[in-house]
Amino acid sequence: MKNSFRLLAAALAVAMTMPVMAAQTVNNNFTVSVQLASLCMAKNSGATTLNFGTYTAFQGTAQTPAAPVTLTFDCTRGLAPVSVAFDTTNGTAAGVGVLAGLQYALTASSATTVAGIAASTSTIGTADAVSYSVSGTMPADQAGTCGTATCSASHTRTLIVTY
Amino acid sequence: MAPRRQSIAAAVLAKGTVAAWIFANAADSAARFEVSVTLRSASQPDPTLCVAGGKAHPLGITAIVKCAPLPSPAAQPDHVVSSVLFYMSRGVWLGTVDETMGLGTVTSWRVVRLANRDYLEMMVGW
Repeated sequence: MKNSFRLLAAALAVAMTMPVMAAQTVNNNFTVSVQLASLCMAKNSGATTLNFGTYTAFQGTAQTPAAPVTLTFDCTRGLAPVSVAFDTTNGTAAGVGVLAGLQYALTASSATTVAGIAASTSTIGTADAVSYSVSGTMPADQAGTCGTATCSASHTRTLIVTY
Repeated sequence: MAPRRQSIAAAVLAKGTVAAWIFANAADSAARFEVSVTLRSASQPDPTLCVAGGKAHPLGITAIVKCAPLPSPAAQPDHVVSSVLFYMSRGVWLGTVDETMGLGTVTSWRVVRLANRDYLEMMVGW
C-alpha cells in the first residue's frame, strides 16, 4: 500500500512537470465569389394618381394637375438609369395620351438619386433611391368626349426606366 | 489568313462581344400610375355671372348669352344671316334642338332666370 502511494505521487509529479504544448494554426485559403445582377425595381409610396381635376370643355387655358406624382425606383448602388419612357398601351412613349377625348402630354423630370448605404459586416446596406417627378398638361380649347354633363375618366400609365 | 487580318478580325470579334454584352445587360423597370380627369361638357350657369344681349341683323337677330368666366364662342357672323341664330356658351341643353330654321321676326325677347337655369323666351312672328 505504501509503495502504491509512492508510485502515484511520482506519476503526478512527472505529469505536473511536463511542458505545455504551444497552440498552432495553419492556413488554407479559399475564394469567395459572387456575380451581382444589377437591378432597379419600382417602389412607390404615397399617391400615384396624376389628377388633372375638372376640365371644362373649350376652356381657354391649359389644364395642369394640382400636384405631380413621384415615382421611385430602388436600384443597385451605383447603377444609373440611362433613359425613361412611357408605355405605349395608353399613349405614346413620349407621354402623350387621350382621356375622355382630351389630349394630354406627360413629362418626367430628370432623375433624383439618394445614395444608399453600403453593406458592411454589420448591415446589409440600402439601395440607391432614384425618383422621377411626373406631371403633364392638357391643351386648352378641347371639346372632349362625353355624352352627359360631366364624365370622369382614368387609365393607367407606366413609366419605364432603362438601365 | 495574314497575321494583320487575324488581329483585325479578333478586334472586330472583341468589339462585337462587348456590344452584345451591353445589349444583353440592358434591362427595364416599370412603375405604374393613374392619370385621371373629369370633363365638364356642360354646366349650370351662374345667373349672377351671365349677361344677355343681342345683335340685330336685317333679317334676324343673334341672341347672345355670356356666362363668366368662359368667353362666348364667336357670335359675330361675317355675313348677313337669314335666320335666327342662338349661341349659348354654357348651360345644360334640356333636349334636342331642331337645327332647321325658318324666317321670322323677333318682336321681343327676355331672359328668364330660374333657380337652376336661365332660358331665353322669344316672341317670333312669321
